[in-house]
Amino acid sequence: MNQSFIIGQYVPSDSLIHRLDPRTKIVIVFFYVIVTFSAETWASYLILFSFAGLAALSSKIHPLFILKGLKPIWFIIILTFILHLFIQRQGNELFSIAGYPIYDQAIIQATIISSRLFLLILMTTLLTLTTTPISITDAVETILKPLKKIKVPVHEMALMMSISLRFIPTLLDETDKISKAQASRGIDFRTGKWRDRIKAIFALLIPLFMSSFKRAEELATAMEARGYRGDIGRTKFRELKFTNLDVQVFILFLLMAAAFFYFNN
Amino acid sequence: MEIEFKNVSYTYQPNSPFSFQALKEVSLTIPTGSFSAIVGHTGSGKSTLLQHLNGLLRPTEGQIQIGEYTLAEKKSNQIKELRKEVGVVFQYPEHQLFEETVEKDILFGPHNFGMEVEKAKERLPAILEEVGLSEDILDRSPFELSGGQMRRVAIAGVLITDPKVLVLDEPTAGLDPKGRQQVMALVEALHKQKGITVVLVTHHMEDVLRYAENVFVLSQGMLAMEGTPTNVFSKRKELRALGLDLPVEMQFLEKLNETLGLTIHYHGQTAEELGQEIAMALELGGNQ
Amino acid sequence: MIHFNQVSFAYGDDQVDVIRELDLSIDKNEWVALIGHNGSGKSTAAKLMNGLLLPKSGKVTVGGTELNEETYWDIRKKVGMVFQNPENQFVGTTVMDDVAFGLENLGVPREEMKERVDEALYLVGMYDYREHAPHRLSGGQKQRVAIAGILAIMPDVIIFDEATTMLDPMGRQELLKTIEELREKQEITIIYITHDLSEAALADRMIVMNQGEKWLSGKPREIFKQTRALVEIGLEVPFVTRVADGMKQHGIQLIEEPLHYHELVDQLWKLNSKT
Repeated sequence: MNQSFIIGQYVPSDSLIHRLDPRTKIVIVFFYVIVTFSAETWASYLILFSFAGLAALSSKIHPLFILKGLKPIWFIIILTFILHLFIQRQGNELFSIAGYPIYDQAIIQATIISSRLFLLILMTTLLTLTTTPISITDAVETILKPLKKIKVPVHEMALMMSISLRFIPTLLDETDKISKAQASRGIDFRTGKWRDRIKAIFALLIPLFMSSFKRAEELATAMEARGYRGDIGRTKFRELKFTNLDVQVFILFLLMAAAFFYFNN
Repeated sequence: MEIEFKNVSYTYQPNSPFSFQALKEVSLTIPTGSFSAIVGHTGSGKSTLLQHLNGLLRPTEGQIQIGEYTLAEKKSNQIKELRKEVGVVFQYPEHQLFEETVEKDILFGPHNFGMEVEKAKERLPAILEEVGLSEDILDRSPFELSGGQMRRVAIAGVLITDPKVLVLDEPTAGLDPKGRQQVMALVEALHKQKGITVVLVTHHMEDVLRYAENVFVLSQGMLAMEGTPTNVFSKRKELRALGLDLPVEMQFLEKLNETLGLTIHYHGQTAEELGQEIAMALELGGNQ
Repeated sequence: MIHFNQVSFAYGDDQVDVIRELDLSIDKNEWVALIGHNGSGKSTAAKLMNGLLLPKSGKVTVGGTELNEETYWDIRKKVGMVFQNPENQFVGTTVMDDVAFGLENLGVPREEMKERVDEALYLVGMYDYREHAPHRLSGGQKQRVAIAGILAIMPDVIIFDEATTMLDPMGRQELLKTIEELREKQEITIIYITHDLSEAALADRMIVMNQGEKWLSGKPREIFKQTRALVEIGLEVPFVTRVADGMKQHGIQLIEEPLHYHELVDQLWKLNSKT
């Protein structure tokens, strides 16, 4: 695995952003993204960038770590920029590169689109860097609670998520073991004929599925033995709590949104 | 095939914050045709060492000579040949079964190693007999067998390539006493009758005492002790400092000799013979 | 505490009975070892004790309540179970969450839950690990967490279904020590399923199962005398018992059947100093 790739990873710390309720963070990121897509003036972009910058700084995660971690994404952002540069054909022609004319509107459009993409990824990455996957699951479960009324199995979905998160390291371990066992039986996952390579994948996947089924069965028995019967009469150990900090951050966000809409016209 | 480790070190994820040295300058020789045991705590480096025996891992420093094959940091293109000669039975080997039938699964190795599958097929009855399975099992799906049977199918899948070295990682884990005894008897027979070099990784000191000719004790990635089992187990203080226990036979004799001032040594007696020997030494009972 | 009256069970209507007309009676606060080879029916018997399975015929009662479709949720509150594979019974993403799982199912209020989780983790000596993720724990530690998860529910009975089979020697000792300490601290009935006779020797009473039936039952010392019967059903006779057998063949009269080599050495010392 590429260690510099940080999307989806959690970095423990006790920063202001870490201490926020995950629901606060999810709601803010959600509205931030919507707002970003309606940004039209330079001033409104300045506000968006300042807010994101402020959030990144108060996460106590080194900015260079974040920027480096987004390396694979930089490529996509730059690609988006270049594509827009060549595709857009409005406004005045400024100069040309290898025969392709470049328009002033194209530069503006390319900057806008790639800025939006950058902000979107930066904010969602900040969310996952500062929130454990299980807290995100908890928060999503609470936010989606109203959907229970229309028979959406919110609790089951959240439980499934949290069990999947819990078993990811186990399954990675297992994959490693099985691929080593099959390699010892002469399998080569990298070279060889197409037919053999497909077979090699089966030799890895089938045992992995079989053992996952067995695990699932045993886990289900264990859960039942511990009195699990779905959502009936269940309480929760993990508690999400709004604090003053959340209120303050919400107010700050609303102020930013107000400023944004004021300057966006 | 002789196996020689020369100053072998292995580091997981070198040059990263997660870097971890699992083997530190290990040098050891496993003679051709011997039965060697590797013991040590969970996390002592046993499993890392084991994975070097057929090139699943390559040393980050030092080198390993296995017969004519050399393993070093540089990638080798003979790895497949090596894996054919060194069969590895992993812990819970039944987890590697995947084919539709037992026959196909056992023949999976020969197919991969480019052996003549027809010839391997001819060997099937003999292999099945060795591992104690009947021939009518061949057409069945491996997944409908009992745990013990699955394990034997997996072992058969390793034996079919006729390896010169057999490496086993806790082959009896999770089996009941009868199954455990059967598997160990099979390993002993392979060693004695076919002269296969056996490397056994285990927590069962009793098995080490009973079957092994050499024992290597690993601790924190280093080779802490080596020698014959009786020799290694006589250094009880050193062993205990490494957090390892003596086999129950030795624990008992140690306590007995200390308490009653006897000098009874272990030299492969059965428990019953040991009882008689003690009775004679104490001159108790005496109706014989 | 637990009574089986002529209980039979099969895994399907057309399958043979894996439990046959079994009569069992386990007292309150007793430590009973249930032993037998693989397929002897011991694990099935365990699942019939907490309603994971219901009997085909006969009657199972737990603490006076008969086990049936209406009562099995209540019975599961009284009878907790630790399974063989430490990995596959760990539900939570951290130690704390896992211990809380059973309490959440019962709808225990959150404040009380916190206390009971901490208390249970103290009892098994895992409090310092409460925020650890499962993949950072050893097998023995995971099994201790499983015990804590059950203790938090405050059951009357804990069943250990081959709970040491997948552990290394250290993990085994760790788990057995935890059980022994637990018994000193509080009243609890323990049913310990194993095929290891030396572990079974720690129990107050042993029940040997074979082909779904009760084969032998008695105090460990009495069972250990019947070495031939044990070998016959595929169990391994402990080393100390075999040494004692060798001595008996030589005519030594032992005072009592030794359960551990320490006991044998002590007895020999006594016998020796008499002559």
